[in-house]
Amino acid sequence: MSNIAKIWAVATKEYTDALKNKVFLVFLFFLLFLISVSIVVASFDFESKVAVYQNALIKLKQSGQVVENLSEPQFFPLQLLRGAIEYLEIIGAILAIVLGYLSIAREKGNNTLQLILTRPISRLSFYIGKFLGNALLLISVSGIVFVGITFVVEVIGKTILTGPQLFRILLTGGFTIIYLLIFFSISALLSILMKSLPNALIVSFVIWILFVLIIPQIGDTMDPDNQVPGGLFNSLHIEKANQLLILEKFSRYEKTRDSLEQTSLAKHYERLAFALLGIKDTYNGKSLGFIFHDKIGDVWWISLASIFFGIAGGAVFVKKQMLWKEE
Amino acid sequence: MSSITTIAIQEVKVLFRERVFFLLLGIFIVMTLVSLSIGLIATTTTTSIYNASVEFLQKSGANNIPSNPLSALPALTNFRNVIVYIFLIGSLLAIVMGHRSFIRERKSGVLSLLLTRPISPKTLFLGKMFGICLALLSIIGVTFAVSVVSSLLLPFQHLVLDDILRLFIFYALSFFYLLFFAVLGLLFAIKTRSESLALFIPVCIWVGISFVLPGLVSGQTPTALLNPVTMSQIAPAGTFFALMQQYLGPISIGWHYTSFSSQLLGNSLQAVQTNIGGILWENINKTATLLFAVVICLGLCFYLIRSYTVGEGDIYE
Repeated sequence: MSNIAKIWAVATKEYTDALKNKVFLVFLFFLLFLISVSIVVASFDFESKVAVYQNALIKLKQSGQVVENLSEPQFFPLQLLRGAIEYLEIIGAILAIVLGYLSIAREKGNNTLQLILTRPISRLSFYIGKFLGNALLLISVSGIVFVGITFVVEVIGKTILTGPQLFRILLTGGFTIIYLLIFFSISALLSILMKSLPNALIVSFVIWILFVLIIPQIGDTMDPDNQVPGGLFNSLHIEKANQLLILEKFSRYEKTRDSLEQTSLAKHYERLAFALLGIKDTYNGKSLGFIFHDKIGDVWWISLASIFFGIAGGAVFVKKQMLWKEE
Repeated sequence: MSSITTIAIQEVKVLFRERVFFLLLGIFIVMTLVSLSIGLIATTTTTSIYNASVEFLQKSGANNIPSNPLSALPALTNFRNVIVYIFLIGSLLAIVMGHRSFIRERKSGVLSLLLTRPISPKTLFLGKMFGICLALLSIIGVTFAVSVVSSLLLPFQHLVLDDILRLFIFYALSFFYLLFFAVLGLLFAIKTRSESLALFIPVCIWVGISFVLPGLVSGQTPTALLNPVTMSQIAPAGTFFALMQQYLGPISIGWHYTSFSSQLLGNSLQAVQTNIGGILWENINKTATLLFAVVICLGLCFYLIRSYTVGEGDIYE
């Protein structure tokens, strides 16, 4: 049996094992449910904005006032995906943590690793097989999620997505896989390194809370425009260009806040996905060339982190003596 | 000393030995201090930006400039990030606490041994619950003290008596919110056959309570729900959100916790102007729902643990 065949055998075993695992399936269906709900909520939110606009328009017309200043809410179907991306960022990461944990816990907990290592397969091939199997699984998960997203957006938004829009969804799906692989590798790495599997899981969750929820939350809360409901500048009726002019004096604060957010890989994924899908107004309608030029830092961050943790997991798995049974 | 007290003391001792107690306490103290620092920095900077904006508007010849919306908010507002941290980290750690409390006995085989002794499952459960409550109360109590003392050490941030009372009620509410999640962790640790599933199911419920239900009720995205300024904003108009508020609103305990807490910590001018009695009366249904959820979970735990027989609950993973 060639090395590639051995890796493939481990990968397919890993893939089918995960599909039989209740925990993984629970999280997968939960994620699909959440994403569908988020799109439904976003569409009703948009409908509500349109209704508010129309009511205001009627009232202004009836009272004989000018209606030119009132801007009609514009429908951009990909903007319905804001909640979906946030759920992928938050719950998708848990799913990846679960996969990484289960992948190692199965072998450590059942003492199967000792048996496998007596067979003619190297540790590296075994790890690559596991990584490949889970990467394929995450590609399948991402595929299901993004096909589902496209379907729900088309049905709820009563629109047919164009080729370029579908391509943007495809690109976002690709970066989602890279992002999820980071959490898979971190969780697998900790499960290899730590003697107690439950502790490895808890530490993985702590990392998840810190980098997915807390750091972005701190950055978001420190945003001066988020200190007042509706935005400070909006309440003062200051236009975007003038806002930037005023904020120039506070560049050090903004730089510190941005640097804090930069330490979160989840924020890099979010910024990239929001730009690709035009969820952030600044990037809505802009070419992919413009977006990648502006977001190349985010692309590098998540790609390098994914490669780093993937290699680190492999290196530790090859080097570490872990033939003990779980505590 | 009764068996219940012995088990409760043993539970606290184990929490000390496993360092879970110190980990929780440390996280809560750090959360409080971080929250206070973020609140102070953000408020000071926003006020400076407001002043710069006013200067800019005056130069442009604008009239009727609105007053600084932050100037009317009390020093207590600086603690509003604590709501998010308890809502997120505190509740998740409470699940871990409840989970470990029972899984530990099932995995080590101590449960079978205990049930061969003259200790009923009811006594075991009550002892564990008292231990968990004691640990949570100590953590919340110390965090409350740290909040008050830290505010006294900072210039112009002193809390007045009304603020301290609001903070006290907020931490009391937080205790019951954390207790709910600890009992949820305990419930699945009693019921589930697999250790991992016993942790993952409450985590799924936690996601539902923290993000899904509040999202449906308020129409906000998960990130917006973590911003203390926007977390308690009302839902957009429309039939869908009206229906969600009518049917899911009453059971959305995560939403109840954040909106009630936001009011207590004076997150808006309206909340500052309402007296504590008014806030408590306005939120009586929310408090009752939270307490009801705790009681239901406790009842379920009690029911499940009563049906335990020797050897049945052990985990051999």
